[in-house]
Amino acid sequence: MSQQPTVFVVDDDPAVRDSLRLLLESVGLVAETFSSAHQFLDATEPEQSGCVLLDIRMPGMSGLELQRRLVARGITLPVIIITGHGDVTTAVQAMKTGAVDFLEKPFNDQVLLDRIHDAINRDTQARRARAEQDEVGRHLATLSPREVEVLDLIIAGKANKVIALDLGISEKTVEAHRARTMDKMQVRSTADLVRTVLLYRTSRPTADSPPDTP
Amino acid sequence: MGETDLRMIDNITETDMPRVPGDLREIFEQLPLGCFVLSNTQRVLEVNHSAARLLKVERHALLGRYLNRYLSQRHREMLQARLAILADGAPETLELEFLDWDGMRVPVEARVVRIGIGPQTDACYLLTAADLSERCRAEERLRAQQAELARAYRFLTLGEMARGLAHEINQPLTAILNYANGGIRKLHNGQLSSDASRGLLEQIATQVQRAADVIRRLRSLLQREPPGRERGEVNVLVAEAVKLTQTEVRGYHARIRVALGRNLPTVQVDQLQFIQALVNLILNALESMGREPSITPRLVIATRWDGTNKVEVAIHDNGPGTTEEITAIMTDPLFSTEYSSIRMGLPVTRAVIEGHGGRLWATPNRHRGMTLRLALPCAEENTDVTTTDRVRGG
Repeated sequence: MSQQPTVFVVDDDPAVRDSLRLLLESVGLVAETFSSAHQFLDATEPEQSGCVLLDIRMPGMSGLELQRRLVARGITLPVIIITGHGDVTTAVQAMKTGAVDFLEKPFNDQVLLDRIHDAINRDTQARRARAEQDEVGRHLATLSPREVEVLDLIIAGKANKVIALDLGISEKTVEAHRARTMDKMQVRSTADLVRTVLLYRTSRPTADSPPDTP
Repeated sequence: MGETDLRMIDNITETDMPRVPGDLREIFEQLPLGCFVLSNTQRVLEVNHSAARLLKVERHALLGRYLNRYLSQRHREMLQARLAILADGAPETLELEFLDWDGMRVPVEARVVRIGIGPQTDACYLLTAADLSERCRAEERLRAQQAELARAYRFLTLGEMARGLAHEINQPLTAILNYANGGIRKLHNGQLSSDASRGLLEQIATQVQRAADVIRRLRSLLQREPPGRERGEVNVLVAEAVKLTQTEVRGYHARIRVALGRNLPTVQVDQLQFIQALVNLILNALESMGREPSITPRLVIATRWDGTNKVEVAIHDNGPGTTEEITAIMTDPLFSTEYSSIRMGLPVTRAVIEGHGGRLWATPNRHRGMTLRLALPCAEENTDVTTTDRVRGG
């Protein structure tokens, strides 16, 4: 995770590949090049950060297919598509499959580098957000069943008194649960607690949350 | 002997048959054919209105004049040569071109016959001329239409080829731009050793060469216009067509295998037209395979000599197209319900191949897909070579 973001160049033209590596290295970026989609798929791990620079027209596997397989393997690297001239249809398709950007060959180097920096930033932010979410998940896992019940009712906007009535426990006990939950979740206010948990649950709809609707 | 018989019949006719009312001369005038009675020096002794109309002059302006005035040098000689060999009573036909009063060409089908009778008179000739200009005009129109079609076809496939070439040029240009920009940045940061810069410049030179090669190929393709048949090697033409369709092959993510036969005889072709025909067949196969996304398109292009006088090119695909469908499309451009310039070009492709004396047909593959086959006759001299060899050998 702490490794440097890498630009993965996938293009079957050796000259384009080699020249892209030179260009990227000239601005201090780390570049790895691959001559085919298969080669790239074999070599990448979900932990690697950076972005993919992908020529959409390649023999063997199409750029679109590669995008699908990346997603299937949990590799969330942003993909910048490079196209030949006037390949609008393919580019549109690529964007629909989740490419973040596309460039027409031959491209202006500054534009390319800007897009790459954008993509890397996007990846870094996404990874940070995911890391935060993972942490929230870990915290949530430490809650006892009772604490989860209390948490759900807090999120439903109920006051301690109502929660106590609902669960058939004393208001004091509810207060104790609430305090411990906020402690475990490492939040300072109820508002913070509600926001953090809701954010987590909406980002992972299948996560270990009980159904919200009674 | 024939002459005596004819005279006998003439005699019978004159006595037994009722006479034709009016003057025979009037009938002569009314004939739709242009009739000239010529002396043996080709002076016009008699002529009818149709003939005068044909040459756009008054009848009297023709009388006593030499017909040569209305013939080009070549046709003058043709006519003279034919008249010289005319046997008594046996007509000869030939195609002549008159030049009318305005100097316009008037193509005619001419029939000449000797009518000079008796040894004491000099030979005379009757020349009847049927106007062919209408037929010629129709042929001219047809030729123009074909030329137009060929032009449209050329434009269509040139468009396809231009797309391929544009992509091919784009690749080295992209590389050059990257090398140059990367080099500038490295130089600016003091990261570029003189060794590294030499390597960089060499790379740029190589890529410029690559782009120039593409342009040279394009130019040599276009220089073959105007179309003319020249001797060509099918393998070279196939290789060029494959190169031109590289981008499309990549676009369809197709695997392509080329199996070129050895020692193929040469063929006599309009190279550009033939390459376009091949390009079109390859694109058609790709398009057909592209209609079934579940398969990896596989294209095999094979050439061979049939052992006698034909060279064959076979384009195998593994697409869903059927031979019935493709045959229908090849014969009727409007058969295909979906619009595709490639498919609409197939009838023209077939016409081009047939125009070269060749044949284009489809056969089903054993497992899947089908094969479009084309056969071209070998160039003339190939057979000469074999004959000479045989003579020498024997």
